[in-house]
Order: sequence, then C-alpha cells, then structure tokens
Amino acid sequence: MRARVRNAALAAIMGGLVALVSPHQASALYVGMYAIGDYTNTCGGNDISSWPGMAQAWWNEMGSRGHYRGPSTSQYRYVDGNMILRRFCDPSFNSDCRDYQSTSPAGMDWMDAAILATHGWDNGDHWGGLMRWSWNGSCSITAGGSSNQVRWGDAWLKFAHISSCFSADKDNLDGIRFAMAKAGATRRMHQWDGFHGIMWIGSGYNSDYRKTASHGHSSSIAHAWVTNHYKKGSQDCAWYDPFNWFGTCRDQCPTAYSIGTSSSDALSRLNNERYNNVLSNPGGNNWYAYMYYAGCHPVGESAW
Amino acid sequence: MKTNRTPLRFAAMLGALVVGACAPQTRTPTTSPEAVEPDRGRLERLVERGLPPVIGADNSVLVESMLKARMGEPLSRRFHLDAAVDRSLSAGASSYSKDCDAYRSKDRQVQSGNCVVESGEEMGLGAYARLEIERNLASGNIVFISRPAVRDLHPDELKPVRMSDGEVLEKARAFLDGAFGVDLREVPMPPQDARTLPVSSLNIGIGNDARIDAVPPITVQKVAHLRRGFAVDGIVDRASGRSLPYLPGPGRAVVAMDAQGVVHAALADWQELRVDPRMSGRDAKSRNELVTEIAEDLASEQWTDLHSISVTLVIASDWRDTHGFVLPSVEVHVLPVPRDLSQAEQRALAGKGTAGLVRQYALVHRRQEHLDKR
Repeated sequence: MRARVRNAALAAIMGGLVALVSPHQASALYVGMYAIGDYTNTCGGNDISSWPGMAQAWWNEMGSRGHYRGPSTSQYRYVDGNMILRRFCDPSFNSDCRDYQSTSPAGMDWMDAAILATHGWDNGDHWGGLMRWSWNGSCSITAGGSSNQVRWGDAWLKFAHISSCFSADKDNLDGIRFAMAKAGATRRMHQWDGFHGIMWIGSGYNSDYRKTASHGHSSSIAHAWVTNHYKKGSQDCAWYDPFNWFGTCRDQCPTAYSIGTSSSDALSRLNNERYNNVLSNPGGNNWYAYMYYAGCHPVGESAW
Repeated sequence: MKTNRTPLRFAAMLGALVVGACAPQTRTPTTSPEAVEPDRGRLERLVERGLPPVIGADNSVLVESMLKARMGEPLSRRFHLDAAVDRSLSAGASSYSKDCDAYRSKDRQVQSGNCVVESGEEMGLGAYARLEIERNLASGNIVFISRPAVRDLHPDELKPVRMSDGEVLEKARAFLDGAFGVDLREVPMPPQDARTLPVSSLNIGIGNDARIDAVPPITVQKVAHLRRGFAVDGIVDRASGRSLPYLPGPGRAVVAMDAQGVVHAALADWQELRVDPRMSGRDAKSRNELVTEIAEDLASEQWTDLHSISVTLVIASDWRDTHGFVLPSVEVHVLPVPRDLSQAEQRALAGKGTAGLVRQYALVHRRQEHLDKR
C-alpha cells in the first residue's frame, strides 16, 4: 500500500467533519493520459488527430511540475492503440476489468490524476464515451448515474479530467458522484471535470490544457479547469459576428464537480484542492458541489 | 518516484464476487469492417455553404484590407512590470525571479526564463498571488492568479458578486490597460445594438441526495472574456449589407473579479504582429481553392458524420520567435451534430463522432519567400 495516502482511515473516522480538518498532501501525483485521435471502423467515430495533443499538453505540464508520468520504458501515456473499456471499468462490473492495473497498460484508477479524451454522448442519466476496440461486446465506456461500469477512486484516482462531449452535463450532475465512489470502499475520487454539451478540438486549444495543469497548482483545480476551457461566444459564429455581438455563436461549457459528506465539505474541496494541495479522501458522496458559467450555451445542449 | 505502490488485489477479488448485473446502453461493434469513405462532394458543398459571402473568386482586395488591419502599440512598448505588480498584487510582492530584471533593462526582453513575481507560497495553505510574464513579451502571455488562504468554507460565507456586466467590462478594460499594458484599440467595444456583452457569471451550486440545487447557485466571480480585434475597412457584403468593422486577431484576455476586485487575469497569445512586406493581395486564394483545400483536409480525418461548417475571417499569426507576421486566414468550425438536440437525440449519438473541430487555413498562398525566416 502506498505510504503517502496515510490519512484514509482518519478521513473515515472524521467523515462528519469537513475536509480541511484532515492533513493535506503536497507530494507528486501519478499522472496518466488516455486519448484517441485515430478511431476504428470497428467502433466508429471520425478521427481528430489533434485531440491527443490537447491531453498531452496537460500531461506534459504535470510532468514538468514534478508529477510522476510512469516508468521511462512504459510511461502512462496511452494514445490510440488498444483503448478498450477494460482499462477503465471496475471489477465490481466485470471481474476482468482492470481499472486498478499497475503494469502497462495501467488502468485509470492506478493514477492519482488522469485525463481521458474521446468522443462522448449523453447516455440518459450519465455520460458515454467511445472506445477504439470492442471489449466484452462493448465499444463504449459509460460512467455515473445508472451505469455500474465505473467506480474510480477506490484504488487511487482523485482527479479525472474528461475531455469529451457531455461528460459533465447539467442534467447528469446528480449521477456523476456514483462513478466517484464504490460501496464499501474507504477511498473515493475527489473531483470530476468535464463538459456540458459539445466540446471542441483544435491544436490552438492545447494551451488551455497546459494552463489547467499549471494554474491548478496556484489556485483551485476547479477554477483552473472552468476558466481555461470556457469559450464564451466564439464557437460556430455567423461570418458577420465573430465577436458574438449579435448572439449568433455558441459557447464551450466546462464543469468542475466535487463530492463530500456535507455542503461545506463538497464546497471546501471544490474551492481548495490543488494538484499540490490534495485533501484526504472524501468521507462520502451524499453532497456535491459544482462550478460552471451561468447561461453557458453549448452546441447539443440547452443553456445552463 | 514511489516504489511501494502495489496493485489493489482486493479489488479483483471483490470483482469476482460481484459481476455487473445490469447492462447499460452501450456502443456495440459494427458488423462491417469496411472503411466508410467520406463523401467529398458533400464535404465541399458544406464548406461552400459555410464560407462568408465576402470571399469570392478574386480575394486580392479582401487580403489587402486584412493586411491593413489597424494594430495598436505592442506589449513590448506598453508593459511595465512595476505597474503590473502595483495593480495586481495588492499585498505587495514578496519575491521576484531573477529573470524579472530584464524588464527593467533597456531591451526589456527576458532571455532565460519566465519572470515570476509572487506574494506568499504557492505550495502552502496561506493566501497566494502570482504574476507571470512569458520570457518573450512579443509572444503575449501574461497571467495573474490569486487565491485566498485555504480554509473550510460554509455556503453561507460565499459572497455573491453583484456588479453589472457593463461595469465588469469597464473594469476589465481598465485593468488590461493599466496592469498589462494592452492597447485598448485592440479590445473592440460592442456596438450600441449589440445583444450580448462578453461578460459571464461564474457560479457555484451545491446538490445532495434530494436535489441538484440544495444550495441555490451563487455567483462568486464575474468574468470578462475578451477576444482581440483589429479595425478593418471595406469588408462588406453588398447583397446583405452586412460588414465586418473588426476582425479577430491572435490573442484572448480574461479578467475575473470577485467582491474584492480582480482575482485572476490572463493574456494568451497576444502576439506582437508585423506585416510581411513580401505579402500582398496577389497571394490571395480563390474561393474554389479554399473549398478544395478545406474539404480535402476534413476528408483525411474521415469525417462522415458531419452536420455543418461555419467559417469566419481572422487575422492569424505566422510566428517568427520575435514577432508574428500578419496572416490573413479563415477559422473553420466543424460541427458533427446539429446545434440543438433533444435528450433522445443526444443519446442517439452513441458511437458517433461528437466533438467539434476548429482549424485555421491561410487565405493566401504561402510562397517560399514568405516562409523564409527573417
């Protein structure tokens, strides 16, 4: 067992108290990236070659900040390849799931902080994401709400950045927390960051991901995520309205989301957790706090 | 690096006992492994439909107008470190990185690293503020971040920000001018008949088992998101009467305020631009050439589930380390899905490409003399 997560038991005992009573951590995080830019005919989806670069901008910056990106011979950088559900699902869903796997290809729950970039959709009360190859008869991952595939955080994952459409839809907020905790586990995820509606890809957006990693050391990860990824009135504009003065454009709408045992606990985590200020594991997921831009109107969804 | 991290074997053991009991809607593999070729004809029609009407067969006049876009004074002349510190770090600076000295020298170019001015400890739990200027001011990257001391926070303690959008915009422009040295001629103001202002409310909401808004959302910051713009003349569509008085340039600015004042501000890629004397309207691409180029590029990405394309004119930058050359361009936004979708339609996207794509394409032919480093 890793020594640095030494306060899980303490957190469980203090479950009724807010997060900051527990000691914080400022040690290096294990950071991983999972990105698809080249989709397959087996599972579908158009290619977007610049998508992995956006995820890597975050991963590189985390590395430059001293976080651990894996052994030099098999780094935690997974692009295309055999990207399948097995790396992301919990053994409670299928005993062959390997979200906790430490050896290459390491699972998502082996990381402390990870980014997953792939096409996504709103699968009812939760997010669905496209995989590259089929596993167990499925080309997709689903997380939150009524889906029982994902239970991140019972191993190591604390911060998940889901670079995918509909990955943090307003109408699915209530269910995100169910992907962040597992019944009977003392460890839970801390924060889930995603998008309300459609998100956008472009090599010019790499810096948004790099700055999320950089700013997330100085101020809260939540603020770094929503501020660097918010694009107000600059997407899909009419030719005569590039500044959205006439309201023809749409937005890109990031959402940051934390869980806790009380309103104060969830709020304090959202406001205070940084990559260099990691709090003890949440004592529960009865409450959740979320940060977003009011009125944000993406493609594919109603305005927030 | 840690060496004492071991796989959680108990998770696998638990998994063996509890196998997934329900089957959520999933994307199943397609039965045909055959590649689906994009319909080039349809792609070209969508690009053609999205191109602005001011792009025609001969775009030499349009390109000349774009090359004459009116730029303000660059940051390298207007930025002053002491002013930036005074206006951003209210608690005063506790440390300057050695690279900040260059900003007080004659050439004002930092060569070895970013200039970082701090108040407090980034790693700590106390209040902290940081002003960081990228090594080369001409690249136009400056960021100011501040945070309060880490402490438990009850929702009742959140202080709502009540400024009007107009007031926020005014304060944001004043901050960019006074602290970062932005020439406000490059921050166009919306016209009188504008329907929106570039200001948003950053909210925090809190939910629980019973409801998503157990604590009603509170506006904790007001944020101005500003796109750089250059005034241009003569870009008018005679058929519709619509015109473009400003074109977006490289660079965005963000200024966030809470009840106490500016807590975050950033300039991104606000590059120092010059006009390449070797470039002229003679280099303009035709509408057909653009359509073909964009469609070919999108076809290479296997875009088969494509819904619409929108295109705007932009001034891009051909970056040359010390400055950028003005590059008349178009910015293409590709949408694989309709703008508005019902919940059922969102669910039907399972297994399809959904993310939008943004790419820029030069409106001019790049000749070898343009690409030579100067």
